[in-house]
Amino acid sequence: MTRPHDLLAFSALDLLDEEEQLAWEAAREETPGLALELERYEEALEEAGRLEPAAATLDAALWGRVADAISQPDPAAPAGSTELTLGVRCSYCHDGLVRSEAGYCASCLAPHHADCFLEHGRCSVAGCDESALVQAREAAELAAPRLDPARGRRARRRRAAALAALAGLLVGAAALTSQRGWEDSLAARRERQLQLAQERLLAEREPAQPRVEAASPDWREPTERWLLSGGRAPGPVLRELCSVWRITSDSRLVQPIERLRRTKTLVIQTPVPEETLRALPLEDFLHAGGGLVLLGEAPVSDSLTLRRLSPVIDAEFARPEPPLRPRAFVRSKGHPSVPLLNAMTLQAEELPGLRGGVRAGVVRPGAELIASDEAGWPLLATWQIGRGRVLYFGGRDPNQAWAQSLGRDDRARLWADLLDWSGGGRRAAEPPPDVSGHVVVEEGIYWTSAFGLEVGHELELRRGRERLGRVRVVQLRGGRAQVVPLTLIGEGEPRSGDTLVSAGLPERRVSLSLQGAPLNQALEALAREAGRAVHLSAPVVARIDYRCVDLPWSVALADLARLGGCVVASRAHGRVLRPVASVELPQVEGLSVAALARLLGGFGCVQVEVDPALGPFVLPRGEDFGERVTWRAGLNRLALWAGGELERAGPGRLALRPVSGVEWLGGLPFQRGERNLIAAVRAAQAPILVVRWPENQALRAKLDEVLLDLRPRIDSLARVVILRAGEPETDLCRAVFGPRLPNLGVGLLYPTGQVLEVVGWASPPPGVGDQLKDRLHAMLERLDGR
Amino acid sequence: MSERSSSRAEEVDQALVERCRLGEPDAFREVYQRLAPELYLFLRRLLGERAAAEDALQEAFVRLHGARERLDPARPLRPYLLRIARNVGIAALRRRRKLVRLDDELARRQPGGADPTRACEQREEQALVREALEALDPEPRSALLLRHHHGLSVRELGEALGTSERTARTRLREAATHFERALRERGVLAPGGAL
Repeated sequence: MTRPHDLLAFSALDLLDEEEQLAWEAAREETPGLALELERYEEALEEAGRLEPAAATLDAALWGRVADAISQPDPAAPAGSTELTLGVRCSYCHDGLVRSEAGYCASCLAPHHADCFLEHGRCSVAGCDESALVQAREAAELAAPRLDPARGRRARRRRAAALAALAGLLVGAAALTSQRGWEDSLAARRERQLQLAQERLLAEREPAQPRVEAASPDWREPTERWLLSGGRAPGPVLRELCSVWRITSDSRLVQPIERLRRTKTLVIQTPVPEETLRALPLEDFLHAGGGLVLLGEAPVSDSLTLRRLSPVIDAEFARPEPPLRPRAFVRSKGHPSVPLLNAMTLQAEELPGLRGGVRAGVVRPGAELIASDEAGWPLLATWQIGRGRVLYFGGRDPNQAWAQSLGRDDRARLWADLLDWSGGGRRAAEPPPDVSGHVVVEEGIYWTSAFGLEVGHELELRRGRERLGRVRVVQLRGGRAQVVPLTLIGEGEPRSGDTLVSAGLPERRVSLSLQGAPLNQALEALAREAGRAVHLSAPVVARIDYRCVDLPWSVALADLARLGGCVVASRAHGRVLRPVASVELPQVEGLSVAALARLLGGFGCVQVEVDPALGPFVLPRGEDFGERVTWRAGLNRLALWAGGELERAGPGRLALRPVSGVEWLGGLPFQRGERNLIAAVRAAQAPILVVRWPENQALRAKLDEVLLDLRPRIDSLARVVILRAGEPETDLCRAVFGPRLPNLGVGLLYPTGQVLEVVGWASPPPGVGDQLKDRLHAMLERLDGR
Repeated sequence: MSERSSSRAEEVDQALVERCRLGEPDAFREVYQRLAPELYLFLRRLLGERAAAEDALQEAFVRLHGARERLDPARPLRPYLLRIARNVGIAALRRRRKLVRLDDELARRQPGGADPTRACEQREEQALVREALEALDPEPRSALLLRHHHGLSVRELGEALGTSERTARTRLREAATHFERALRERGVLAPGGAL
C-alpha cells in the first residue's frame, strides 16, 4: 500500500491517479502539516534545478561550434561511401571504443573500456553480474600493423585482420576466437572463482574485521623495504621509520588504539574501507602529534574520515590524460618537511617521475601547498591538526613512480624526510609511561607486557628495593602488541618477576658531517632531532664545517654554537633553546612576540611572522605571565595585546596581522563536534561567539547537544559567550557594535551538513574606544552571570 | 500548453523534420534556435558546469545531425532531442565519474558578502537540496528535472527516456520517492514526516 509520504512526492509531480488523489486529500485533511511539507518539497524541487540568470543564458557563439562540428566530415564514414560502418561503443559510458583497447565481459561479451569496467566493478549490462573482463589478444595482434616486406603475407594478414575485426565488431567474440583465448579466459575465471571462494570461506571462519599490520623491517614490497631501511639515511631516521604503519585493504584491526599510541606515522596508500578508518582514533592520534601520510590510492575523497583530515579535498584521478613528461614545481621552497627540496629543485625543477599523473584536487584553506604539477594540481600539501601533521602526496601510483628514482640518494632522503617530518609532532622525546610491570624471562630472552613504550625507552630493573640495572626497549613486535622485548644494559641477571620502573629516555646521540653549512639551519636541524625548538636571533649567521660521530646532542649543539661564535642562552625555557650571538646577549631583555611564540610553543616550534604594519611589539619582562596558561592561549593573549590577531601561516607557523573586518576561517569538521568546536574557538579567539540556530531541525538538535555539553569547557578555553541568533543580547551586540565596528565580537558558527563553519569573527581591534570596551565588558558580565 | 497550440507545434516540428531530412541548410539551424536554449537549461541542471553543458549540447546536436535522415516526422522532435541530450548528459556524468567541482557555487563562497547570516542560511539550504539531488543516480535525476523543470508529460517523458509511458511513470515515481527520502535524510524535510 502506498504511504501518504509517497503520495506527497507524487502529488508534487502530479502523478496521482484518482484513487490516490482521494487518499491524498483525506490525508491532508487529517494532517495539517502535510500541506507545509508539500510546499517544502515543491520548493526543494524548484531549488534543485534553479539556475541564476547568468547561468541560464546560452552562449550565442555556441552555434558556431555546433555548425563547425557538423560540417566536419565524419572520419568513420569515407566520403562518397555508402557502406555501412560498424562501431563498438562502451556499454557503460557509450563512448566509442578503439578495438585494440576494448575489453569484453567474460560472460556476455559486452564491450567496455577497461577503466569503465573497473569503475563499475562488474559488467554494466543489466542482469549480468560478471566481474571478469577479457581482451582480444589474438585479434589485436592481427589487427596491428606489422612491418613485413612480403606482400603476399601482408595481404593475407590484412584480410585476416579485416575478417577478425569484422567478427570482433559484430559480436565482440574475437576476444575468444582462438582456443587459447578461451582457455586463458576460462583459467582466469576459474582462478577468480577460486579466489572468491577462498575469501568467502575465510570470511565465514572469521568475522570480517580489518587488520592493521605493524610495520617491521621485513616489509614485503621492495620499495617499502628500501624506504624502511632508511636508504642511506642516518640512524635516527631509521628508528622513526620503524614505527611507520601501513594499512591495507585486507587489514584487520588488532588493538588499534595501543598501536596508534606507539606509532609515529601512519601511511595510508590503498583504498582502505571507511569502517576501518572509523575504527581508528585518527583524530586523537593526530592531536597527540602523530603523522598521517596520504598517498597513492588513499581514499581521500571517498572516505568521510579522510576527507576531514586531508589537506587536499576532492582529490580524484579524474584528469583525462596525464602528461607524457610530468613535472613538479616547488611552491613552498624551504618548507621544513623537505629540507633537501631546495637543493634538489635548484638543479632541476622536477620531482621524481609521476607516470600516472597527479590527482586533481583543491588545497583546503589553512593547508600549505608545497609542490604542484605544471597544471597547478597539488602534488605535495600539508597541514596540521592539533600537534599532528598530515601530508598529502597526489601522485598516482607512487610506489612504482618513486621506485624508479629511489636509487638516488636525494630521492630516498626526500621521502625519508617527508615521513620523518610528518611524524615529527610526536618527536617530543616523551618519557616512557609509568610502568608497573614485571620482567619475564623465557629462554634467555627478556620481555615485559606494557603499553605505551617506544623503542629506546629505558626502564629500571628492581628486585625489592635493590636496583639491578636497566633494560631498554629494543623492538615493538607486531603480532602480540603487549609483548615488548627488552635488552639488558650493563650487568645484572634479571629474573622473572623483577619490577620495572620508568627511567626516562637516554640522551639522543647524533652523527654529523657538515661542510659549509649555514649555522642557523644546522642548529635548527640538531634541535629538531633532539625534540627541542630553537630561537635564533638574527645575528646568528655563519657557515661552519663540523664532523662528529655518535655524540650526545647537547655536546654537539654546544660545539656548533661555539664554532659559530654564539652561545646558548643560559635562561632555558622548557624545551626552547635560545642561541644568541655573544655580542648581543646583554640586549636580550625583553621578549618579543616571536620569541614568546617559540617559548610558549615549546617543541611545537611556532614561528610568528609579524606584519610590518603592526611594528615591533615587545612585552616587557615585568609583564610576563604570572599564571599558567596554555601556550596557545598565552600567544593569543599576546596577540590581542599587540593589537593584532594570529592566523595560521602553515604548519608550525602563525602570522600576526592587524584586525580588519570579518575573516573567513573556512570549514571545520563537525563530525566529532567537541574537539572541533573547541578548535574553532581557539582558532577564532572570539570574545563573543554567536551561534546562529539553523532552520534545519536535525542540525539544530545536533548543535544544541554539542553546545550544551561543551559550554563549560569552551568558556574555560577562552572568554566566549554563546549567543543564539534572534536573542536580545545578540541584537544588542550587533546594534551597538555592528555599525561602528563591523562584526566586532560577533562570530557565526553554523553547521552545514557535516561541516561546522566559522564564518565571521573578530577580536577587539586596536583603537577600540574605552566607552565601547566598557559597554562590551558590561554586556559580557551580564551574560556570564546569566 | 493548450491542445491547439500543442498540435500546432507538432505540425511545425513535422515540417522542420522534413526539411532536415531533405538536407535544407537553414532547417537544422532553426531546430537549434528553437530547442537549444531548453536543452542547455536541462544539461546545465543535470551537469552543473557551464563548459560540460555546452560540450554536451554540442554533442547532442551533432548526434541529431548524424541521425537526421532517420528522423521520423510522425514523432515529436522535442522529446526525441531531450532524449539525446539526456543520454549524452548521463554518459558525460559517468565519464566524469566523481567530478571535481570548483564551480560557481564554490567560487561564490568568499568573504565580503553583504549579510553573512543570510548568505549562510541560503547556502546551507541550497547545498542540502543540491546534495539530495546529486545523491540520486543520473537516470532518476534526469527524469525529475525533465518532469518538473521542463514540464514533460508522462508520455513525452516516456519518449525522452526511451521507455513506455507506464515505465516512465513508474521510474518517475521512484525518483520522486528517492528524492524525498534524500531530503528527509538531510533534514530539509522533517525526518519523521508530518504524519
